[in-house]
Amino acid sequence: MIRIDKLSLWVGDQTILADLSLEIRPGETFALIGASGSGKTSLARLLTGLIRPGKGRAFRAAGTVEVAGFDILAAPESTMRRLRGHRIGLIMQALADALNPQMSVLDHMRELLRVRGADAGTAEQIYLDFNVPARLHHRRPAFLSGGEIQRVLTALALAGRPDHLVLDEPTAALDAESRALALAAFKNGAGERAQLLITHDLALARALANRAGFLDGGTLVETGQAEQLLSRPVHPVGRLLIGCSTGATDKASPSGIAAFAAKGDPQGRPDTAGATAVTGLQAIELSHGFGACQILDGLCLRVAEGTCAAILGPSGCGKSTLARILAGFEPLQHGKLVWGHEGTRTPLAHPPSLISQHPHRALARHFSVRDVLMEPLLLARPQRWPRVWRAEGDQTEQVAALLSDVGLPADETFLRRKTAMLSGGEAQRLVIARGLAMQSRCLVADEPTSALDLSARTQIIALLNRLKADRRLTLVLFTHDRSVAEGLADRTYRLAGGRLVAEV
Amino acid sequence: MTGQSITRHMCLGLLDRIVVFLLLVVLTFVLPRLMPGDALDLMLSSDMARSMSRAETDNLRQSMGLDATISTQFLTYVTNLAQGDLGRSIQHAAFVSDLIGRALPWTLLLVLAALPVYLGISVVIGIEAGREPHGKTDRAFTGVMTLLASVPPYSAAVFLLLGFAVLWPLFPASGAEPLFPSPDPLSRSLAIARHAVLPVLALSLHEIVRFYFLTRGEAVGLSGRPFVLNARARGIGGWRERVNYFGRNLLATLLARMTDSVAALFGAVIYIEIVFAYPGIGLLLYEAILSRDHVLLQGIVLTISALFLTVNWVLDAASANLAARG
Repeated sequence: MIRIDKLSLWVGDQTILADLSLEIRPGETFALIGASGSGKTSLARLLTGLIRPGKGRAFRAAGTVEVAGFDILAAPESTMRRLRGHRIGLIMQALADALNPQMSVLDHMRELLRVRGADAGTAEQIYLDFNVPARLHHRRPAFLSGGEIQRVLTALALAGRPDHLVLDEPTAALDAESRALALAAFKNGAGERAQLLITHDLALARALANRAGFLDGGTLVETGQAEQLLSRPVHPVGRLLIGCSTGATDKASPSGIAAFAAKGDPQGRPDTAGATAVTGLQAIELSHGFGACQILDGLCLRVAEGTCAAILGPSGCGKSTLARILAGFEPLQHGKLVWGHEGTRTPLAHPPSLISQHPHRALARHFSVRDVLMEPLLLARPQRWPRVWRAEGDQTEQVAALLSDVGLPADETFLRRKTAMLSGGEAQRLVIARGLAMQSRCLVADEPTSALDLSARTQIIALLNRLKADRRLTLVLFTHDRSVAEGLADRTYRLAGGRLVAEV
Repeated sequence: MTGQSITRHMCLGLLDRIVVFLLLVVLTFVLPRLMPGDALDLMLSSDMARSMSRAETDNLRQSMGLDATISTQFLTYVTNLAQGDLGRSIQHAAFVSDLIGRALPWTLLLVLAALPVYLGISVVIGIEAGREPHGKTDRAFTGVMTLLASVPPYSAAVFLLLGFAVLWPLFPASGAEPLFPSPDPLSRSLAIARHAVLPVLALSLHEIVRFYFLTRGEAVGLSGRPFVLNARARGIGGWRERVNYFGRNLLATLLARMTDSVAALFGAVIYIEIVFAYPGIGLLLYEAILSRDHVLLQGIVLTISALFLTVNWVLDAASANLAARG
């Protein structure tokens, strides 16, 4: 059982959690829903003892936290280590860096089993039970896709059969298929577990949780039975969060439909327009492989200026590789990237900017918001010698304009904020603003919203739609989330067998 | 990087180092000859030289091959070098290759013994300090290391000599083994080990501080990485965390720094051999400089650089291999 009583958490002068009280009994799953930056991840780490508040440390805490009968805030490190994995499990969002780059998938499980004193020979079977196929067992994490990493993490967290489980955005990086698999894994044995689900994914919360609560300003503003709460919240914050979610589908799909409707024929127009005069991004006969593994095989793509192509596909099919090739991060092996009309053969002058799934990893931690935007602006200035690395008046205005364009505040305190201190949603908006600052005519977005909460997701979709219309921005969107694709895309493709198949 | 491109990288690296070595051969040949006078003038400039007639010196010069043109001399030099002949040291009255062959094993003993000592100590305490940044362990170790860092390495060698060989004579003060080595191989190796303790320690101190700060800095970075957090959340701690999560991810950085450290060690070993009168290649080099023994100097410089380039090449290939893992 997890019992949190009047918990407050501060880092420096900043309050992260304030007077939070919560009780989760065995067999119960509590969904904690909150906007990005509301302190959800800190709570998850506190519960597993990865954040140790106390004197002389970065974090200070008040109140009590009890997991499995142990006072987490007071327990010594040795006790916590015995509890972790054995009694308390944690499944975090699968970042590419979530597994030790030096160890194979199988090494991770064998090590864990040895720590538990269990038979390391059963590692393969445990992985198979968690849907990690044998072909992945001997790979190192660098050769896994986001969905595959998440499955490995889930298997590792649940292998010790902990009776308390903290799930921190566990499905954010997954495609529909792996999401269903993950959901089944979380449900399996949930009857004996006390689970805390931290998410902004309402569908997941509905499927998994018995009870739910909204987190705002570091405290629970409303709790109740999951079904009731998630459909009819009373508190304004809850209404906002839920409203955003319904708004996302309500707002997003009409705009998507409107985009099609305005063009009359959803299939014909981009094609015919692209064939005649409209310029745009063209990828011609791209082939790409790593070693013996062929990922792209003669792929062709044409995206007309001011439109969006969405590329769907299961995890591990090469979406991220294609995104990196388009953005110029991965050298071309075979084929061409061209900007222009059909028939032009001029290579791209400026590669498109990449909007990555993990905005924090795309930003230097020690840069302030101002530094991030100022850098491309200064680089874009006409060359002169000696170079002046000083901002001029119009650049300060440009920064402010870019920030308000992406829905971020432009006041001095925010401009001085280090990117490491931004929430996921804020960081992603900043990455988009940086892409705009680079004067790119094309953005390549690799799962741009999968790490964001619902309100942020809606804003980003609306933002990208607006940029598409106002700035004639060309967009290549990689996603596994059909609703995002419907909200944004003029054409949808499916990546399979190294080629694109158009979808209606 | 695939296996094929690693082989390519290694071949290119070898080619690079061969070119560097050939340039060094030219340099060691040209530099002494840029000085006024030649080897014979140098010999005759000493106080003990008897007055010789012009005919006698010409005769000597001819027999030493110094009357030939520069290009012929270079050709002879390179041909001899290719046959492994480094020439004769007149001051030592011995073949240079023999002199080096006798001194080099002692230096290698010091360097190879110091390597595990400083790597072991600095990596272990560096990980210990860096896995919990600003914790008690970190503050204690970093404090001690900052103190050590402020002692210049040559004075550390002198202090060690003074402390453990003179004031408290635990270890012998000089040489690599007793004047009359014991015939029994076991007691002879023990004596050699006793003689090596202080020089090895002095040599290690030189590098411990550098590698400590390197390891600690890297470990601080690693301690915030998601895979370390995830591992801790799974209940992995103790030596597994330190070896598998910190150690293995530090390897690439450590190896990269090692290439530069080996050069630093060969530099440091010179004054350590001087302080401890250790009959290694550093002492030989020092004597060669004092007695202006150019032939010996050339031989030592070429040997050390060949050795260094080989180690550098191997370490470079190993780090490239590791870096390919990401």
